[in-house]
Amino acid sequence: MMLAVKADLSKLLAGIPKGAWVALSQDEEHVIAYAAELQEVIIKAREAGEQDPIITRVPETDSASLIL
Amino acid sequence: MAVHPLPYSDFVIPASAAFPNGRVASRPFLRIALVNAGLRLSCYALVDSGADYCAFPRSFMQPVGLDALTSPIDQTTGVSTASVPTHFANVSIDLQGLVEFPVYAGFTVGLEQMGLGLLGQVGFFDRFNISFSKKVCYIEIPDPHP
Repeated sequence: MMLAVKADLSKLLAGIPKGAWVALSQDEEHVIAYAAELQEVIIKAREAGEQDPIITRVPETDSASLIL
Repeated sequence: MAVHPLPYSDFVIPASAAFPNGRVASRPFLRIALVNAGLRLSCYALVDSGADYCAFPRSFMQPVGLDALTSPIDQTTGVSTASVPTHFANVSIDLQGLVEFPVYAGFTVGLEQMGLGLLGQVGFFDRFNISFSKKVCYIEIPDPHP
């Protein structure tokens, strides 16, 4: 079984400002850090001890349908 | 050859004028990592047969040592965006430790707001046999040592 997105991330990302970059733990259970800039969130995550965080972003809008 | 099932992930979408009760969107997302020059960036990517190429936010270039200033540019477009410049560069994708493969991928501001990648035709669908069943995507990956 391949690793999909573990669960609906909306609960995990609740309270984080819209548009913020987020570093998640490898088990996707914890938010390690968030910041406005990608490079900043990577640095924060590494300072917190997570060398390989999963990077994602909080959507700018609540209703985010994907039509790509 | 091993077939790896990828269950779709369900995303709860809040109510909108078009969907006053909200809805659940099922999407074939998986975890990958971009790898280049000993650097690595883990992220999510959507298996997207409608994408011509594999593509990622442009800001993903720097953490894996790619230089937007020296990368060739093509114009790309999606449903909701006007044509935007996309930088192309060689990078590797680590598919959860199962296989690592090189792709000529695009990096575009058009994906910045979503913060995720697309696994498209060139580099992904032309490398692996991909099939879809209801809410499951199946990816055939050759044995590393047949």
